Amino acid sequence: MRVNNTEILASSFRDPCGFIFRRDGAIYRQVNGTYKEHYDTLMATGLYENLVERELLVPHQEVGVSPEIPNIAYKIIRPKDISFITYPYEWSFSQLKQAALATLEIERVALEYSLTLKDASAYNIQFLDGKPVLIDTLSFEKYRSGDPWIAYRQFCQHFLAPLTLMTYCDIRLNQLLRIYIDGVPLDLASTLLPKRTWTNWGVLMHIHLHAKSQKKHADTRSPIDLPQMKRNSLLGMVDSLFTTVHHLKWRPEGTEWATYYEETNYSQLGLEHKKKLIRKYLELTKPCSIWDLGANTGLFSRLASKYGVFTVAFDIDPACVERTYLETVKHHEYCLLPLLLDLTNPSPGIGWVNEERTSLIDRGPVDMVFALALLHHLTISNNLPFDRVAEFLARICNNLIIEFVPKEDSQVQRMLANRMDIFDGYTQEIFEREFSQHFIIIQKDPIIDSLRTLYLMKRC
Amino acid sequence: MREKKRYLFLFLLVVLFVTQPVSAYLDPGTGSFIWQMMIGFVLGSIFMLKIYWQKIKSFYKDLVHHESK
Repeated sequence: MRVNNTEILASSFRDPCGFIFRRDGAIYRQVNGTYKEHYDTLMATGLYENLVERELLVPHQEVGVSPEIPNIAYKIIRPKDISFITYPYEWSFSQLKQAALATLEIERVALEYSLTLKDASAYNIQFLDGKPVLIDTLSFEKYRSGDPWIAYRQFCQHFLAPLTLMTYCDIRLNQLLRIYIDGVPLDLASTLLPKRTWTNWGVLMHIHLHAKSQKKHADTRSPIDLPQMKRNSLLGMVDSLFTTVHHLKWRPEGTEWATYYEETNYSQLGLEHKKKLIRKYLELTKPCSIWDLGANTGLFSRLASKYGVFTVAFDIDPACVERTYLETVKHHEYCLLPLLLDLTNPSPGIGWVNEERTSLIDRGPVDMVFALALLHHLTISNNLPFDRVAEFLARICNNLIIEFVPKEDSQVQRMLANRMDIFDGYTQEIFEREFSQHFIIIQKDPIIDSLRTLYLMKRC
Repeated sequence: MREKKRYLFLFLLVVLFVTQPVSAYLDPGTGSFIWQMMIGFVLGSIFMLKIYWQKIKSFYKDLVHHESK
């Protein structure tokens, strides 16, 4: 929704306590009068400082800008900028798991200060400097003695169900979050999970029996009047969820991580030359942010991220993204964010009017895109003509480093080994012609000891 | 099935103290709400045992550590 020159974000409509708006490129949050008591408690009790210090909550400043809707406003706050908004269906297993554990830790600490989380949406968690943080400052409310955890169902649907499905069924099932915006329905999770999960105490309780209870009471119309839940019971439930999530583990089966995805047809000489060229192009353009499409385990992404350039390393393979994420955590690589993405079917706009969660394209354009050893996969494996790829890349970036892999290259030969070669237009000449419709070729360098060519392009 | 219902009913009786309606912008889901109340007592008890066990362990650890000095 647009009001004058500002915009209330399409994702910010559920909670009447406030909303997010963008003004002159900056993100603000309006805290409404109805939330005054809870906001003041959050700030006065020390919970805010505690969580910010532990990097579990996004820091903010109270600012004097005029409210977006003045008659209901209490305060305007400006949260620290998040470099790139991501969604749970773009996270690897450990990213989702760490986000879940962060949510539970926040709830545990909040209870110490007599506050509680009123929601537990995975969309409220974002990665800031490589760590999962809560970005919804208005998620807290004063804990009323005897109340249960209002966000229990949401936590199970947004975190526990997808994590359990990824662990026990298939790692790709986090994609169910793309379909179900309020998390995976528990009856569906219970149906899909194997029988052996009934012996897992946490999964049995928080998914299987929880789903049965939901089904049993689905038709309840009259107001329910239930007993109070003691604080210890609430802490026990948070602890039980924490233990259940903590014990969920996933590792790519049948692979040795040390050699996983390290096959390459580059010689050491060729690889070093490619790295040198990329460094040279980065020096020339000095991008402030990069999307590395088909990043694998982020070998080339790191050429930029280790110099402080915020880089998103996208890959279609959950194992690659998982491995890269674990390495970023281990080595404190704050400027590198690995994410899951099928470039032939990138994250769409979903939710209410398809705007609640924005598409990949709408989260761009980015300063620079790396498309290294990617083009032949798009054109030959996915039958995408050069002009379509060029048009797409021109929509998402200002600068482009792209690698052309000719048909004579062993990788392309392998791809064509068992299919008819219908790609007469796959030539370097046509590639340059089609890309020149959208980009200016700034640099062009053959990679030594290979048949490949690297290009630096700038959008027209 | 009948036996399970009987256990659930017993749980409800055990945790039955005072009633209080809950209001929030998020729909907690009736089934989730009831289930949470039912498991709360058990999880709370386990949690308390865990806390006491940790305290006992830490007491003996300190004792052994102290004696070894």
